[in-house]
Amino acid sequence: MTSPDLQHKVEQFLFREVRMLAEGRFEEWLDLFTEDTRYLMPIRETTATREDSERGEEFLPHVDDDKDFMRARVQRLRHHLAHAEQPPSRLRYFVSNIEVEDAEGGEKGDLDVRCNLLVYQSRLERTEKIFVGRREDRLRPEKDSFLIASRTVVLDQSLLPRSITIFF
Amino acid sequence: MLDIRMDELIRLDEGLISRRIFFDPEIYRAELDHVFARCWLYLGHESEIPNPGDYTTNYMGEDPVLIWRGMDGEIRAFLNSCRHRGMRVCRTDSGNAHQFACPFHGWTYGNSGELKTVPNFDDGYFGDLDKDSWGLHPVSRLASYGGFIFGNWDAGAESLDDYLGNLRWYLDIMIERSIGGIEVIPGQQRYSVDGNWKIASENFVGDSYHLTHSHGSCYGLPVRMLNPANAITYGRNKLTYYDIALDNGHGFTQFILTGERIEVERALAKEMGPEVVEYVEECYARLVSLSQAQADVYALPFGNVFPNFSINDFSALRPIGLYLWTPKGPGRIEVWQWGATDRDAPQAVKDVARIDFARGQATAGIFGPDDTENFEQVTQSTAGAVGQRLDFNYQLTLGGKAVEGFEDVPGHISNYISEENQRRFYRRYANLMDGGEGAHQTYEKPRLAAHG
Ligand code: FES
Ligand SMILES: [Fe+2]
Repeated sequence: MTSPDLQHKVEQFLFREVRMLAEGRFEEWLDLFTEDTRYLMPIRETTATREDSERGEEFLPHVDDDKDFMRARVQRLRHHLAHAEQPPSRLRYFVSNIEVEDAEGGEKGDLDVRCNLLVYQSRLERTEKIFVGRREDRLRPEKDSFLIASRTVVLDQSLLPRSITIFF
Repeated sequence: MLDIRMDELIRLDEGLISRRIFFDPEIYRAELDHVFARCWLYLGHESEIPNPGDYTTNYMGEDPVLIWRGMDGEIRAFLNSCRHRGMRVCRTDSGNAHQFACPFHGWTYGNSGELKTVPNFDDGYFGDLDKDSWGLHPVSRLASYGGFIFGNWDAGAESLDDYLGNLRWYLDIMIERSIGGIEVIPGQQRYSVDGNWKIASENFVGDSYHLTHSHGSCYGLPVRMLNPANAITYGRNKLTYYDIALDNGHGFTQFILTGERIEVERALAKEMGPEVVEYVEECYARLVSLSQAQADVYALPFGNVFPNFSINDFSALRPIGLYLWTPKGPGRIEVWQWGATDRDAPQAVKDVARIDFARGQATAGIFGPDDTENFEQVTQSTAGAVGQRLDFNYQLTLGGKAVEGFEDVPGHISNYISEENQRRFYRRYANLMDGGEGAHQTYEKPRLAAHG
């Protein structure tokens, strides 16, 4: 069982993290990831069985990034010609159903954290899109906080409502 | 019947196109008939369904289709709709099945499309229903080119080979360069765009004009997965590019015709190891045996197969990108996209292909989203009463001369950064919509044709 203290600490970490995203503090957000992190977003397909619908390694992903490419994305977003997010979208992140457990494998003290995620994107005058899914994070204790050693974002939509210009 | 003549809305001699064609719902309905029910449309690649019973699904215009390999190994395609009351027969994206039982009342179809069993056949239909005439409705024409499967609803349409025309010379480069044949990476990215399908198609058919500005945020990034022949890794303006307009409204852009593409490729291969160097030489040798002109071209870069199938192919060391802009009304596109590689490419090439694709012209890539922002806002500009009275400007290089001196290279060659390919795309579109050249007589009930 996770102690209420640890649960609270993880929750506060996740809440602060998504607020960085909503507020466009991407450089600060990057610092939350380990140097060898991996950020994955698989595609979803409608298949006969539940397990198959979440497409794995041999399939085309939406995102499969290392830290260097995450940095490049942030650098790009800061460029004055990155017009898909300039002016910026208004974003609201909802994180819920946070489950914390000791990681299997990994380094000592690592945690496996699952949560549900709902992101509302409002853009320009009338673009409104909602992305829904879950996240699976490997958190590594760092000073009195955490670093994200890996993240998998599994959106529920097989047809995404829009191309992706934001982070999850 | 609508009294609209496309040659009044699309005035290519002046380089003007009315914004109305991107918004008007009646024009859109007519497109489904005149363009999507008459042209050869991309359905998928044979490598996605290698085994008997394998199926995949797609759309032709707004009609859902099921592409299914029969027990006899033959690929067939059908309207994905039960012949009884229209229920969607196959509701998964892909898989393997020897039959589908319709979820509604249970009519069951085998994978040659035949109606096999009907509940209450004896006591309800008195054994009298002619099962042979109630199989799944087949796509009228089905053909493959180099493993790329196309379908056509028009039984009287020209052959796929004739439809592709001189584009085949270029497709042969991409196909022949693949030693083991082109293999699609499993899975597809799908997303919606609140835009008109033609804006996406014309962006690929020849719009290299937008690259510097729309994608200007990418070229300085410290990532080496990008087109080795463009500014990012090769230095700007070192190479001379061309646009080439092809038969029937097809077109590709950013060609190198003087043979430097292989030099760029060799440089990239060297960084990837001796196995890759050897591989590139083999690819090149295959093209030389096709023709020196095709070896000089070496890659397509990017373009569009009329009406809505775009391809990018920059290098044998990077994934081929396949993009389908499926219309869902005048103001909406569903984008389906795939990556592909040579089945026999070295592991070093295959290992990076799926990631390379996802990071580039893709749903969450660094190129795709800036394009879709354009597609959406351009389409919205066509909604207003005043907006609809205005034209878009397609005058870039209007009146310019075709490039000469490349006799072995088919198509109409323009200097790089032109709108000639786009003008020819819309000429083909206008012809089809007006029931003119390229529109077949077998087609019934043209809605817009004022003559013929
Ligand atoms: S709709 Fe398919 S059996 Fe009735
Ligand atoms: Fe683009």
